[in-house]
Amino acid sequence: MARVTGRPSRRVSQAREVGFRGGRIAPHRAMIGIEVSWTLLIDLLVLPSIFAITMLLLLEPITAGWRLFFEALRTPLGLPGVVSTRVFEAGPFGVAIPYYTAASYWPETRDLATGWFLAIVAFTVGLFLRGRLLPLGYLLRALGIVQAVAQLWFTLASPPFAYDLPAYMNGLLVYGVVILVLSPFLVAFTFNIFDFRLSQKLLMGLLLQAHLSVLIPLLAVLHAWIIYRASLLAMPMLFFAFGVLFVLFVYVALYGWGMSWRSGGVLDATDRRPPTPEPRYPLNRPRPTPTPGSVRAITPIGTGVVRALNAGGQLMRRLAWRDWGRS
Amino acid sequence: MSTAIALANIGMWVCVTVLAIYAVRHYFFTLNRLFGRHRQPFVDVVRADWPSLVVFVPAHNESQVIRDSLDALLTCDYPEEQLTIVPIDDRSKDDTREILLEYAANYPDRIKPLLRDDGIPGKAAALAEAMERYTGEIFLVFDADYIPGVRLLKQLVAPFFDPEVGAVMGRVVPLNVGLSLLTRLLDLERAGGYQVDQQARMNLRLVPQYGGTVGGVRRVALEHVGGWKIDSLAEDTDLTVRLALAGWDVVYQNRSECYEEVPETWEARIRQIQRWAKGHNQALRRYLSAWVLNRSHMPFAKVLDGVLLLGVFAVPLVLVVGWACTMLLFFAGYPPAWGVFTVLAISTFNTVGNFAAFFQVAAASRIDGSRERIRMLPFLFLGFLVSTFAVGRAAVSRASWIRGGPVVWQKTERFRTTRTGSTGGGKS
Repeated sequence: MARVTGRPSRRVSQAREVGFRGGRIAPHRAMIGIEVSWTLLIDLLVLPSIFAITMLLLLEPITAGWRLFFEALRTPLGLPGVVSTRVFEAGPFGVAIPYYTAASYWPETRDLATGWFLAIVAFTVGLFLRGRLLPLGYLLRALGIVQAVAQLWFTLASPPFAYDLPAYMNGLLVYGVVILVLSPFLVAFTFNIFDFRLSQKLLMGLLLQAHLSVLIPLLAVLHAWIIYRASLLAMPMLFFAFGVLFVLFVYVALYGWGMSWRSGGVLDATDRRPPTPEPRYPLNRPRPTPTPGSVRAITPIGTGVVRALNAGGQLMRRLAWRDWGRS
Repeated sequence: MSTAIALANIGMWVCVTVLAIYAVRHYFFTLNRLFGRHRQPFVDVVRADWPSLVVFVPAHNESQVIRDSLDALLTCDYPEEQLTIVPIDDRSKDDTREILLEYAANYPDRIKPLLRDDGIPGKAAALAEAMERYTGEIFLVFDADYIPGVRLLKQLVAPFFDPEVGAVMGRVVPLNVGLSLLTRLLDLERAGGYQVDQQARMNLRLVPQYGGTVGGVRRVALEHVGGWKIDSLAEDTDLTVRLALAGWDVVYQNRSECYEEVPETWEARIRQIQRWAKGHNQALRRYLSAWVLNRSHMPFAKVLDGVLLLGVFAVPLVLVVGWACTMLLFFAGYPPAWGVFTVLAISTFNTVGNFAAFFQVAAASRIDGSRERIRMLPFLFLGFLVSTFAVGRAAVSRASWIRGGPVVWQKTERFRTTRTGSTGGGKS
């Protein structure tokens, strides 16, 4: 005897969605959801594992590329020092991460004055931004406060600072390596769980890892250049506002774009702009006028009704033609 | 100095723990909404012995929007003999009263306005006075800018066929989405809040929140918990907590959608969210201890959800404290070395933890079929930033934590174009 579960079987659930002439009735958006399936579990576990293992295998050449990149940019940017490597170890894994030896300096009076000027300008401009620009005003105020705290610290404290430029850059790159390896799992649990096609899931993972592989060394070089030029005074702002947070927002932006892709799956059923169906007739010539017979085949109304409608339509067209002729 | 660093260290980890709990909650609710079984009690009932229903529409200077609301209510398919519409004018200085009298003259059996010129001002006081005069079994409340659909009243009343249900809440959908960056962001936030957050709480039998509009309460339940608290800054949260403490269920009906007008200017948005924050914090102060002490009568998950619900507007304060502690530790040189565990913990928290809210909003919009709107996701940061400042300021205000203070009508500005063609925007 069948067990009473209180839940309709999949066959019954699917039958509920079959509409007139075999079409599909899109469920209300309040009722829609995703079913757990084996393919989903594969997307959640196998795909990210493949990506993460591949990334682990590729880490050595990627970080070697970062080192070449730093060396290539060092001279044009006017940065002193040399680029060596340091091994970051996590359990059995280890990877040589570029280690840049250029040192920055404790802020001088001129740097502090410039910093105070920028902090005050940011905060003051932020106070005066209103209307549509209000969020920008809040952002400027927040940045002004962060910079002001840094200013106070460097005014009151004495050298040395807790971090130097090489350690800072090394930390940023270590974070980048960790994110590169972990990001496939973030993609899996936030993107792959949706009803996207396998190709879309692969593309999102590839895009993110390719983007981060390029962004992280670029970000590190930019930070190094700013801190070297503007003294250690610039480090707190870069760390808090334009480091990890910035990398996160790269994923948010990419994710937002990916989530807007059409999947063709169950979640597309409630889309407010449904896909345009394939035209049944070529668009460069008018659709044939339905005959009573053809309409009869697809509608429950009788042939007499169709004939009457046709006759009415023809009468209306003639009347309209006559009116147009008069005018 | 070492004491300050030790305190900052403790403070940072406490803040990180609180934020991590909320992040886990975001993920859990989103996954439940995506994969869970959805509870929508009696939502498809169309023929029944419908109970007597009174619909209240509190209004204070609402001449720009109240006609649309009353027109929509008049076309609802609830049996006419069981339905009374009671718009409440509370000391309006514009044409609201004249409009209500005009409608009452045209529909004398259906619209019975209540005109208030004295007594305590405010929505809660207005509702308290109105409910004393009517003896319907069910009371529904709509703000004056809301436009209910034809079937909405039946959908909202249907859950009350379950005698344990004390209150019901429908879904709020922004009407004026495409007007500005702010309205688009609020659309995303509302989607996350209702499509995912409220529905997951409903699925999990936790505490869906009665939101004060597009919802209602059973008269018996309201009397049981002592009626409306007229000194409450957020009468909806206050009532939700009291009902739950008294053992009544609160139901969220995700299919019962009603359009509202969201703020179109950041200034109006800040005032709105500060009002919500003060009211929520007031409820936190009033009921947290009762909620925790009552834990033996409720499942642990419900107790935890209630605490997190009450504390949701204190989170920005936690965030600010967490940032302050982090900055102090950064300047002090903590952590002294990059340990592997520290790197992994910080990396994971910064990415996975901070991403939780974005995930929830994106999932909700995807379910809603608002695919292309998800491209606005990064801009939510601006909304979060403004909310953090605004709610943080409200969280340290006197009204949040200290008793007393005058109760006034604090309502959101209206922006809808009036029928005469002029555009609104004046503060009301």
